Amino acid sequence: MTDRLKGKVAIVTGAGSGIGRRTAELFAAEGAKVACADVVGEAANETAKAIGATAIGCRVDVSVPGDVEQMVADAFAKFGAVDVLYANAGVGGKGNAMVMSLEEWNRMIAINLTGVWLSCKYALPHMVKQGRGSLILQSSVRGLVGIPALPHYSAAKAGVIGLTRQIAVEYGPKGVRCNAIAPGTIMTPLVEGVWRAGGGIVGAGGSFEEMKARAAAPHPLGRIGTTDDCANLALFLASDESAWITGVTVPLDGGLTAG
Amino acid sequence: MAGRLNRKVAIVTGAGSGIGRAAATLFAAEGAKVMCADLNESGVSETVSRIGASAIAARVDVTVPAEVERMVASTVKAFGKLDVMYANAGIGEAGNAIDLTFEQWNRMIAINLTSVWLSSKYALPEMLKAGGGSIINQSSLAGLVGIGGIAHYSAAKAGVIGLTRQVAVEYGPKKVRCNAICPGTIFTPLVETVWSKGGGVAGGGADMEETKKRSALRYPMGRLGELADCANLALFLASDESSWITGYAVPLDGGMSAA
Repeated sequence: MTDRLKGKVAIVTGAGSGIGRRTAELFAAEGAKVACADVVGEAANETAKAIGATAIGCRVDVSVPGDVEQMVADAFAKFGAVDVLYANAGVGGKGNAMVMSLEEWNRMIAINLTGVWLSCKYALPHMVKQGRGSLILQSSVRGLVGIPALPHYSAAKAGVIGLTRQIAVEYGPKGVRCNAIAPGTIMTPLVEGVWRAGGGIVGAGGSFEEMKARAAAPHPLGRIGTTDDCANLALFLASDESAWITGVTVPLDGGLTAG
Repeated sequence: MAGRLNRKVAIVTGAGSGIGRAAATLFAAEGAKVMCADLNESGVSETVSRIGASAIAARVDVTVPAEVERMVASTVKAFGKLDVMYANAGIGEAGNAIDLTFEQWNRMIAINLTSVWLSSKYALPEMLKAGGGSIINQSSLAGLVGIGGIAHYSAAKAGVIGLTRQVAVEYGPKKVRCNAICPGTIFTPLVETVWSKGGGVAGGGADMEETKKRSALRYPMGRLGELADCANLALFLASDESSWITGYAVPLDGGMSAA
């Protein structure tokens, strides 16, 4: 490995599975110490255990201020700095603007938007004090373009983009960068489980392979994304290689939003 | 070195100085074979002699179709294929929409836009043959937002973004990616030329150090870009780490376009 994050301390939320787990592993392989956070504490600990001594696990509900504050405090207590925060935790959902309940709406905003802000709120003081830091916020192509279904998800993910630009402009002078990742469909265990059970946004029906092909079709590169695609982008944004990049939202979508 | 471009063959235009030289050097250090092209023959020879055996030089006027065609052909002849095209060559010149002459306009479009298309035109067939590739087009912050004093430059650089999206969508299914880099002020000989003639984001002025300071103030990160900032981004886009990213114009601007 090449130590692209040597000497850095990172927090990854949603690190219990999928994108978060893969990214935590890659960050660690590139030399970072990693706090792996997840609402499923066991899963967070499992990721940390698989990584080894350079990782810790934390059980965190990112929509609860006290939990997030504790997560950042634990990372700092264990590793002595907070250089990178990847606010990746989030949930999916279903519904459209007419039939959705207020409870569904509020829960989505609380986790996928407010949870991202809270992660920044508690990480920023450390980064400002250090005079450096990189915040990476998980958005979605649904934050960039309109796609049928999931209005609350789209609203939350577009909100993340607004927050990203605002933090970038306000804390850039303090040496803190803030960028967002806007993925299209990434094949994770979660997505696979939903599809295999016959659900998901690509429309039910057909085999798992047929659903995969249907989901891949609108992307010019002809495939859906992998957890590696996302982890590699997060690594670039976390590293000093992107030291002059801030306030951008990178579409990670095989060309979907270019068309 | 890490070998992030192991076994890849790259062309870098404008490799005789500044950003192009930095990118060619980094690509080679990461394992690529590099064709270094520039109108300035002594500059590009110097780049190649610094890199060593994994690079070759060519004197190329990127506005002349036959020269671009020959550049691609000699690359394939020397190294067997073509994986990466970094169309970086370009010029800077001050001029607003009233005072520009027709000749100045046409020359700018030819060098900063038509040449980028020509680079794709001759690289694409080789990439299709190789089963994929990565094209990186040099745009500018001026292609994203309005900046005083550089009307023809802005038009050319915004044109590059349109071309980038189009090529991405059309050749994505053939596994060719195409992205653009939109740098703010990176202090290169080109920028110095624009400033000395009163153009650019900082409005020019007699004292170059003063202009530099004034220019840096406009970026949230509080500094101008460095050659390494651009070379590191080009490396990421050239490598397979970005294999699901296409059609994106990446702002490399210390947060300016987020404000």
